[in-house]
Amino acid sequence: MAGLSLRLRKGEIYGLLGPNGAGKSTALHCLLGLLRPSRGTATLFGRNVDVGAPLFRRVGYMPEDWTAYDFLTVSEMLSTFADLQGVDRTERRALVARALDRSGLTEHASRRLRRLSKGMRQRASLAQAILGEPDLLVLDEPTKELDPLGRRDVRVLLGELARSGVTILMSSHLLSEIETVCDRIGVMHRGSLAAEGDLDSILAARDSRILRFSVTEPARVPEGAVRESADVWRWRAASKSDVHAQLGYLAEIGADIVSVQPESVRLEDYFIEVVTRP
Amino acid sequence: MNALVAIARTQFRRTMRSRVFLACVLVAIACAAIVVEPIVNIRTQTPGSVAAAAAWEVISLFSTLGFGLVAILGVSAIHSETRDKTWQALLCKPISPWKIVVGKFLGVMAVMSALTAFVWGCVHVLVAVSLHRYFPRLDLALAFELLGLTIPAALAICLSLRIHPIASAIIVLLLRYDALDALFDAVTSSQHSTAVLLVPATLIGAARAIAPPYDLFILGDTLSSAATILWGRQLWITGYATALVALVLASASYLLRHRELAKAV
Repeated sequence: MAGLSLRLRKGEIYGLLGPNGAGKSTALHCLLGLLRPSRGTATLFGRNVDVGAPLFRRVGYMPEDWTAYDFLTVSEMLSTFADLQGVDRTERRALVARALDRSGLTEHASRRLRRLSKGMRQRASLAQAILGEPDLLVLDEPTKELDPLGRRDVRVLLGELARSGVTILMSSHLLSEIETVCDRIGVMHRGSLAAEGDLDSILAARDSRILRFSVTEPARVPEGAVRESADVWRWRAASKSDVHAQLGYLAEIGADIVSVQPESVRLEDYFIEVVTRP
Repeated sequence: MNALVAIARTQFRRTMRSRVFLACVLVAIACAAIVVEPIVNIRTQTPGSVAAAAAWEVISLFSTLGFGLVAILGVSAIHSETRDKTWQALLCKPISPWKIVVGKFLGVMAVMSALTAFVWGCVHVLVAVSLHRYFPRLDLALAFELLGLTIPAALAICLSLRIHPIASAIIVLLLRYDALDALFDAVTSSQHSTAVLLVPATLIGAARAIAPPYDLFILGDTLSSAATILWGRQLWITGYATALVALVLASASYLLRHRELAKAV
C-alpha cells in the first residue's frame, strides 16, 4: 500500500472497493492494528492503534471467512466475546440477547456453530461484531455467504446502526450491496486510493443523455441506436451538444421522441472505469 | 479477569474436542497394557514391588504420551486461532496479547491437569494396598510431571506466534526431553528426602523447560556430574547451584522472547 489516506465521518457507511489484491484487507488490518504500516499512522477516534488497547471497546470487527469457535453454541460464543470485550456480567445477557435478535439468530441461539449453514455463521460473525454496541464497525465482506433475504436483513441492520450514530467501514466485492448501503465509497487499486467520493454524486447524472424514440421506418434508425422494445429505440448522446444534433436528426426522419433523460451510471461501470485507467 | 477465564475455557473446550487429543487418549488406553507386564511377574516378585513397577510404568507412559501431546497442544493453541481467523477477532478486543497467551496456557494446563488427575488415580489404585509410604514421592513425581508438561506448552504458545508450527513443536520436544530427564532424575534417583528435593528439582525442571538456549544447561549438568564424581553422590547444593544458573539464563531468554513477542504482535 502507498499513499492511502482515509477519514471516516461519524454515522456514515463507507464502502471500500477494489479488485483482488488491491489492498483492501491490508488497509483494514492496518487500521485495526493487526498489521503495522512501515510508514504512516493509523488512528481510531484520534488515538494511535495498538493491539489490546482500551479503545477496542468501541470497535466491532467482522473478519472475512470467519469459522468462529464452531464447537460452541451461538449464545456461548457471544458470551465468550462479551467477556473479551470487557462487558460487565450483569449486562452480558441483555447484550447477547440483543445481538441475537438484531442478527436474526434468536431461534438458533442454542445450536452449535458447526451445525449452522454458512449464511447463519456469517450472521453469527456479524452478531459478535455488533455485540458491544460499538461506535465503529469494520466489516470485511459482510454479505458474502448470505442469501438475498439475509442480505436484505443485513442492509436494514446496517442502516439502523448508521442512523443511531455507528460509523461503518465495509469492504465488499458485491457492488450492488455497496450501491444500496453506502454513503461514501473509496476505490482501491494497486495499493492506493484511486477514487473516493459520495456515492450519490458519483452515480448522479453526467453529461451524457439517453434519447428514447420510436420510428415508422426502422431502416432510417441512426447507427448506434439500440432497440429497447418493439417500438422504442435507445440512443446515447455523449454530451449536451450532441443532444441537439441528434434531436435534429430524429426530427428529420420523423421519429417520435419518447424521452430524453440524463444517463445514470451504475457503480459497476464506475468501478471498471477507475480500475482500468492507464 | 473475565477475559482470561473466557480464553482459558474456550481453549480447554477446543483441546478436549480436538482429534489429536482424543487420539492420544485412545493410544494411552491401548498402551495401558504395558502395566500388565509387572503384574504377570507377580509370582516371582513381592506384591509391593510389582505394584511399584506398575505405578512407574503408568507414569512413564504418561510422560511419553505427554511428551508429544503437549507440544502439539501448545503450538495448535495459537495455530488453530490463525487458521480459523479467530485470532484477528481476538486481537481486535481490548485485551493484551499477554492475557491471550496466559489464558491459552491455563486452558492447556487444565487439560493436562485432567490427564494428570486420571494418572494420579490409576497410580494410587495400583499402590493403594501395600505402598502407602510411597505416596508423597509419587505425588511429587506427578506434580513435577504436570509442571514439566505444561510449561513447554506456554513456550509453544509463545513460539508459535513467530515460528512455523513444526519448528516450534521440534524445539519444544527438545526442551521437553531435557526437562523430563532432570525431573525424573531428581525425583526417582535421589536419596534425599522429598522436602530437600522439592525446591531444586522444581526450579531445574521449570527453568530448563522454558529456556531456549538448550546447550547452556549442559554446563549445569556437567557441574552436577562433576560433583557426583568428586563426592560420590549428587549433593543437594549442586542442585541449587544449577537451578540458580538455569533460572538466570531462563529469565534472560524469557525477556528476549518478550521483546520478540511484542514486535510480532
